[in-house]
Amino acid sequence: MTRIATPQSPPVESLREDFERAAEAAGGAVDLHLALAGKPVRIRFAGARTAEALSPAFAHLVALDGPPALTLHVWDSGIRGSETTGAGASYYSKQDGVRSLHQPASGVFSVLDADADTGWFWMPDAHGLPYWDYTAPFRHLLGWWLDAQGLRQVHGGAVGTEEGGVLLVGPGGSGKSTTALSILRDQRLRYAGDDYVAVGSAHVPAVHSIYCSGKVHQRDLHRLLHLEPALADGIRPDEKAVFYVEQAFPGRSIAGFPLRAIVVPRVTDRRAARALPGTRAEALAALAPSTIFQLHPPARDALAWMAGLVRRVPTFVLELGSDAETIPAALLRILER
Amino acid sequence: MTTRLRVNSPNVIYETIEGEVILIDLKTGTYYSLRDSGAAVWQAIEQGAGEDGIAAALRSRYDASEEEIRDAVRRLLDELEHEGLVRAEEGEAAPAAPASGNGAGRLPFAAPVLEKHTDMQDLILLDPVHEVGAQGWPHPAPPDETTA
Repeated sequence: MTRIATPQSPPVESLREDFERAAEAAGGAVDLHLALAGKPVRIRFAGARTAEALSPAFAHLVALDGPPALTLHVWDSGIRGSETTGAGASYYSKQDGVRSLHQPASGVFSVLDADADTGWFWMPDAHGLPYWDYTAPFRHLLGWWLDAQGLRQVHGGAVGTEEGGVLLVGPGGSGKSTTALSILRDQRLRYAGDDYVAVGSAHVPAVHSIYCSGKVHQRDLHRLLHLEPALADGIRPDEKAVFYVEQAFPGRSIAGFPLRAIVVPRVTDRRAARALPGTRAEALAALAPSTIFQLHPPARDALAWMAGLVRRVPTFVLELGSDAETIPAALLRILER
Repeated sequence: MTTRLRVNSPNVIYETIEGEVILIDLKTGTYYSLRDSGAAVWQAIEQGAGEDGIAAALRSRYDASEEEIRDAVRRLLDELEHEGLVRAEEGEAAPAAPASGNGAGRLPFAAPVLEKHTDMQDLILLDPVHEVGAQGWPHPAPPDETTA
């Protein structure tokens, strides 16, 4: 599996053999059972070391074992110190219902056999992935699978309560993460993600959390001082500070909620945050391009799907101020409308 | 035979929402928006209109001289072609339906503006996705194999 020069899918049988061999060498498979978008998903890691690297992002979705709707097999080859930049061209193919993605820059190879409800994820070193991969593991595999379930993975954060929540949309740097993470100081709101969530297409759409990881740029840490204890040993040079909400703030993450509004955060020079009615076009422009270009491959029907979503819920602009403590109250006011 | 305009599909995708058109060029990562008279021009392009038909549709909606509207339409069409969002082709142009207005007489005219956003281009440049067919790279997938 270390010599993947073409994007062609290896035969599934050879993936299975590679995984079994890796699991045996690593002391056996470690199963993680999740309820993702209400469906049972099993992730089989080859050994505890691999599980340790990529499980924490799913800690809030752990469920009892049962017959899975999807099984992912995850292994590495223990190629320590492999230099990966994480960015670079990717190669995608879809043949006979099997989707494959090879990302040479990080060495990751993802294969989904949708008919068999089975996925395969190989990487050089489970502890060598860039932070945007280990905080959102198997993003492409899960995105393809969610698609087949009538759901969409979108680029956005989400926070709310059991009764309903908001989708936070916008490109990187627009204030999505700051807004999502600010709610951890307010017990009334819970966290469903700061970057990628799944959204259903029902008349009243639902948001489903995928990852409980949180990432914050070091320059924004002074605005989110309540996160400091959680980040005590989680800051690596040249990376965003990373933590897992389920570990650091037990009970504050949430598996999902009905979508009540789409919110476009905007950094302003105000002091206190405030929400204003927004236009649907503004929400679509904030949601669609960054979602579409982070999907592999970009899905041509995704714009129409997202336009349909934006038409079904109210939209707001959330003007962020210098005082991040005022953000949760502004969000709660949106949910109370 | 006249010249008509066609949306540059499948690379260009678009949606109209509350009168504003959001356009995305999947090849370059650039996205755009058109409002008001610009959205009216796009609506006429969707209907297969040529330049004359587009100008006529706008004249039925906006209060401006024929020359002013024609110049503004020409400038926008040049820009849309330059950006690769539409292409001209030979063929019978369809007459554009009058641009939908508010029913309260003609509106004041402001020249259409194509808003252009390039913040996604870095993503495309840093992490392009090549869709490949059964023969593997560098043979691209035929159009019917790519994700629609």
